Amino acid sequence: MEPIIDLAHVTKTYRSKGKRVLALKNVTLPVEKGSFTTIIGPSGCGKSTLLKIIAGISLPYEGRLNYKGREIASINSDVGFVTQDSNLFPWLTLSQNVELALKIRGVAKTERALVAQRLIDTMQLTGFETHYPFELSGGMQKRGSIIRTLIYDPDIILMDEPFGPLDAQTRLVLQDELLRIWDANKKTILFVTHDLTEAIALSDKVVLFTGRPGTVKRIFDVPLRRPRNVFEIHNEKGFTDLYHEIWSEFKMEITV
Amino acid sequence: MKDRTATSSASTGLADKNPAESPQRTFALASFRGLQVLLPGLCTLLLWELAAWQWPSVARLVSQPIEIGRGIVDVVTTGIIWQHFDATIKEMAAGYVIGAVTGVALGFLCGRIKWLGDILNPYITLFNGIPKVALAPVFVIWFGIGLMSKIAIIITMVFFVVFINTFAGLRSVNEDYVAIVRIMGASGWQVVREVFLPATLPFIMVGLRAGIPFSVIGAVVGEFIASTKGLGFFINYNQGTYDTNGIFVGVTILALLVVVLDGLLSLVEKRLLKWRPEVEAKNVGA
Repeated sequence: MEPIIDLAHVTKTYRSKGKRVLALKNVTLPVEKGSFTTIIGPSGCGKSTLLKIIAGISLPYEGRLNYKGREIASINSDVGFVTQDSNLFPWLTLSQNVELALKIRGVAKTERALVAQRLIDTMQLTGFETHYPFELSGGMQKRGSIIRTLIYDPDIILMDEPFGPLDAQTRLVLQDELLRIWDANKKTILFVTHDLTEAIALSDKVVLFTGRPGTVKRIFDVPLRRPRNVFEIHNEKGFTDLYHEIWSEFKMEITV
Repeated sequence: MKDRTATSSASTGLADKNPAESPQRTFALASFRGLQVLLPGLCTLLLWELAAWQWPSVARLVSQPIEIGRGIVDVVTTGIIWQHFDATIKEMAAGYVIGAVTGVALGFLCGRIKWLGDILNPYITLFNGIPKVALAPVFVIWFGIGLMSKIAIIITMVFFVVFINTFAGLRSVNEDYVAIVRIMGASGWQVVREVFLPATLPFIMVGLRAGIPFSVIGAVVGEFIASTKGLGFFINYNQGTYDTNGIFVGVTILALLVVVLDGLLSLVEKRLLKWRPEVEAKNVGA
């Protein structure tokens, strides 16, 4: 199968305080259409930078980055980007936030309200449509930020540690919901995290990055059966072995 | 699979709203708070009045509330205040609108176009350092003793406070917001409309509210220097005749004018910025 994203020898340097900083070095990574791929690595290894390059908001780079066979040279509005903070716009109500992408794309008011309402209902946010973000809990804001990305039906969803700031229970619930959405739509998801359990629970492939400058250290297949139960993932056959296998390599990259 | 925290924290956690707020109760609370605010002012007026009765020298220096009130009624009913009020309001309106519009516009340009901001900013800081009041005599020479010289002074005063706030607002816009709408496919103008304008609005409002007293100061200073009408002229005229009561009549009218204008603007602000959590503590004294 032709990979939807194909990175070959991608290197990224940027300037900080007059110095050249090497963020990514020689990253080669094919991402298959419809797959759930997780990138894991120590903090500062350039995982987020990689997502920004794919979204076309951190250009230029060296090497080759093909998206559906074409080079990325500007903002890539075929992707959806879910940031670490929910980043719902505080001046818009929940439903206005969810509709925003369609408004920008010129979809008529009644139509976009219809689509937004359907997504709000599937995420159990019904009744909170006219609430402003400050009136929503962290978990609700996160749901909102996921569906405002889903609404324009992007081919790929890039998620940059989206569940990082949430408490442990809300995290599990949202991981579960994310898997259900992914199952139903078969979108390609490229997910960045620093949590190994989360990485294994969600993905088909776990890509382990080295410390800065980040590069692919190893790619692990996750053979656990689907649909998965994220709440009981520890008891899943094969989980522990895989966890230890990845961890033994991961811990070498972590310097405190 | 419902988020457990959803319903409980729907109303912002710590600073929780009072759940049992009936309309009557809300009204009672509002009147109570209104009274709380008015009380110190009323006490001051009362003490002032009593002191003026007790010591006539006090009355000569600072007049007394009842006399000031009578004076205001007097100038309003005889109509002699209107030409002054009219001139000052016109100066303020013209100067404020021009200063605010150019302040917002240039603040936007300098805030978003980096090279332009880098070039213009040092100059704006420099000119802002000049006390604008010191320029007033020059403006009178340039624009004469009519409304124009006062409008010019007000423009320079209002422009800077609005510009500086707008500029600060733009420089503080969360870049993630910009990236998010760009990825959604927003054009340059859509980024301005969907992100920069709403994100900067709270800052612009701060500048606009701060600009109101400046526009009064500008008008009065200009009228002090050279004019034939205006509330500043009225005050200056009464000073010339040692009429303290007349001075306080003018000052009180100016103060009321600022309070009314600021009140109107804060209503607009409340409406425009209703998406912000209330900052003031909700249940103080309740």
